[in-house]
Amino acid sequence: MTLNFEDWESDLLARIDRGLKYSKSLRIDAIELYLTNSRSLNVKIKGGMLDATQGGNIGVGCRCLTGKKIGFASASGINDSAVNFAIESALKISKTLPKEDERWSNFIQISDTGKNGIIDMSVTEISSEEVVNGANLIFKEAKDYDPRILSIEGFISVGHGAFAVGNTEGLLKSARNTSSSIEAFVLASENSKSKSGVSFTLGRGVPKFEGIGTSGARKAIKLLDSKPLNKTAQMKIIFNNIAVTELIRSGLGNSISGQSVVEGKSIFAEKLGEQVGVSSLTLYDDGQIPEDPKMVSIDDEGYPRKKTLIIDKGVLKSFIFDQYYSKIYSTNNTGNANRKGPQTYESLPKISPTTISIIPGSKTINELAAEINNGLLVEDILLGMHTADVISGDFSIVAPNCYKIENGEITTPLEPISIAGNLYKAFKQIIGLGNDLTLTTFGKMPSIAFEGFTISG
Amino acid sequence: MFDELQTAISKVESKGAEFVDARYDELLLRTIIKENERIEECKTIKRAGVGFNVYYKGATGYAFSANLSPTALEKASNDALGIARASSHGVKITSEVDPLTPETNISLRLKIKEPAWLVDISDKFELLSRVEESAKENGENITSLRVMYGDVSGEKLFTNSEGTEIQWNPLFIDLFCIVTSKTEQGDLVTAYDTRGGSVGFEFYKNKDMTPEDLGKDTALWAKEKIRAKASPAGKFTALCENVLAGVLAHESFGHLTEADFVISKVSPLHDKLGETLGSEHVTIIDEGILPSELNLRGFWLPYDDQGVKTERSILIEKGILRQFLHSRSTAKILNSIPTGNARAVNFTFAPIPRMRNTYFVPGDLSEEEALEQLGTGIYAIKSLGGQVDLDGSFVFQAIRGYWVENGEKQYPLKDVTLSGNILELLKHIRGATKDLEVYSTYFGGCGKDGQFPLPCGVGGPKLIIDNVRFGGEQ
Repeated sequence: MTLNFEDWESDLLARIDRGLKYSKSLRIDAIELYLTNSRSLNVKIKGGMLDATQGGNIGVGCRCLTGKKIGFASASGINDSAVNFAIESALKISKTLPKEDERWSNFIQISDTGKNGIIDMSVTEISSEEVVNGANLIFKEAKDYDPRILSIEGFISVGHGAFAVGNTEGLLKSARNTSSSIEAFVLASENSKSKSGVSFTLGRGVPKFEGIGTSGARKAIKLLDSKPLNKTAQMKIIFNNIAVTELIRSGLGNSISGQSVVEGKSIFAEKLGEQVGVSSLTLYDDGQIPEDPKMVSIDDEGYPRKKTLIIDKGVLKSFIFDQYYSKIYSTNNTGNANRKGPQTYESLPKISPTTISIIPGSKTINELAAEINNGLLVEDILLGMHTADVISGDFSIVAPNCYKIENGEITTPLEPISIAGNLYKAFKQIIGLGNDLTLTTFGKMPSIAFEGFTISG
Repeated sequence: MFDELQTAISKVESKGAEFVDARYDELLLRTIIKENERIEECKTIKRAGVGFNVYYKGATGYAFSANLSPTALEKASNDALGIARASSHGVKITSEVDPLTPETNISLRLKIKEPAWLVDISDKFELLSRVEESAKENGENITSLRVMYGDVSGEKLFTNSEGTEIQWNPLFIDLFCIVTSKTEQGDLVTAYDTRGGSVGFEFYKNKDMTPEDLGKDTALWAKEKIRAKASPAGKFTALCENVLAGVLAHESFGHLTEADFVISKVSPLHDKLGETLGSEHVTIIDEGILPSELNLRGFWLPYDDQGVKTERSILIEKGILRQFLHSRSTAKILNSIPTGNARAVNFTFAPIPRMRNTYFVPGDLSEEEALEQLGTGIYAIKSLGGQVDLDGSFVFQAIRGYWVENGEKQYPLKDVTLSGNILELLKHIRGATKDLEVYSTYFGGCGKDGQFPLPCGVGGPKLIIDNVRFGGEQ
């Protein structure tokens, strides 16, 4: 039984319909079924070793209510026995819970949908040979760039999938998606010093393999000339359009989440309408960027994906919500319910940003450097960002790819620099926005210059 | 299931597969999460599926299926052969295995009194309530209290072209507590602690392991952080507590000994076998089954996902690099022996070289003696992890700490960030205490190549390390 990709959504919807009928026979108060079917081909290149994996992530997640007691269960597979296992197990849990959740209101009711991203069928047709050849091209490009290139690690993934959500409020919706990504880490080595450069691409169709290896190699080789800074000081720093996305997203994942706001863990909880950033900062949570591999029409509870204005000219305008917390906070759902992957069916929907986008400024990175006059440029990689304290906002990270900015020019590469600051104060420490928007897995942002971070290197 | 897997293996061999590994996992995972006494999550996950790893002309291909019908198994094994064939034209380093004597009729189950999967859900809720009560009683200005319970049980089957047949039952339970308190300035500070291991439910009656101990320790720690100061920035001597030492052993050193990084030369250790990399106080072990008499809280792993016994590997012995961590194919490439380190986080991934329980071997100092030897510097405690770059540079965050002068703790510190290069750091380890602790958790684990969270144990004694760079504000 092999279905065409076009038919995956209707297949999932039919299975949900059967599951909902079964749950009716069990006299369940309220239930939500989430089914997913996705297939991916992943090729990993490590030095000259090649690992390829293929398979389908298929499964079912079920939320079930007895009164206001909520149980959840999931199973791998989407045949009737898997779906029924999830329903029965979730029901059993909901019956045995010690207390009701008084704040519960209801599952999503009938509503609009957003738009699906570009469905590029090329990813469903690509052969494993083509992907393997692409991996080899990355390897060859990097090796050929310079004899000092020691090793290459690359990860290529192409996939397509569909999911569907249905519940006892009458919702029955589906969405589908195509995606691809390449990440390459190139290591250069000379006189027992090693430096790495990273390059990547994201998309919704078969990726372009050309140029990835060369770009990573170029960055790694440049860094071989790095010198220690030998200084601990407060300095102005430009984070390039890749590095900055991880920094900014780390500052928003917790603080703008409706859950954190309601549960008393967001530093922004009482700050709606207040100035939280510089007036040049306008920032969205954008689940509707067509070229973004994450873009789908509905969130993981079935609510439409949206573009939500979070910070407008420095003023905090909105938080992001799923169904549960939007009801508690008496506000609109923003379509930010996400189930963590790759086995999304094993997770309850939780609030998280989609893609954070920032309105760019007008300057090139060189013009930003000229403005700063003296400081640092941080490129691409931040180590330890996930160790930031998302509640207080304090962070201390290491940037392995840094350059000195002297007299307005980007000059010497530097040995790894540690950078300390506060994620939330950072929004007010912005001193310049670039014009070079780029999309990463964290966001779509330009290069951004900050002041007031403590650096040590 | 062994028969179904063997049927698929035979069929795909007849189509040209040179060697085939087949796995079947059937796991049940149960999680309860409460926040501010509200039940946020109570769930059961059933995760069952098969995976085939096929070797063909120096290449491998892996394919998996959650559909367990005979046709689905056949399709998965054929897919694996198909991508191995495609890869065989492109490989520069070949993946092959040397023959191993097949192990048959292996069936392993850990002896425990009260299996968590038989415990009533209400008893699990009671454990969580006890953690909550204890935390509230001992804490100060608590703004958020998060408690979590998790257990995993089930079976793993492995068979291959050699006829090996291994079945074992993984198990793990964990209690986790997170307390957030508010300072007078309105800032929020957080503390985390955990109790668990590959143990039965009776574990929570042991000394220091009760839900009350967990709630109290976490709340007192958050309370202490209310008045903690920011860590100074610069280079200091450090005393790294047991869990932090374990994170250093695993994250910053252990990964560099994984043979795939060695073969690709990504690891700075790739050409250093037999060289002295650390001081005489540095011995790091990685093994699947911890010595039972020590009551360590690691993860029980008798076999890896290629059917190889998980015996002890000494990675570094008194400072000398001794061994890398291998799968069957990396062992062949490097002319070594498989070490039982081929692991996959679930059936959707091929096994790759991973750690098991990794720890520094203890020394002979007491904590007081260690503080005395530290003199003036930072006592850094616990960690939720860190990050390491390919060149060995790392950054870690200790989530608790003290400023120490003349061997005396002066005042508590907020989160403390350590950074440096592991090869430098190992040379500067000046001493180790005699107390060994190993821990692992259900709520998190090791990540590599998209495979997360893999349960691993980490640990060690307390280590005195000179010249550690601490981040922080000026």
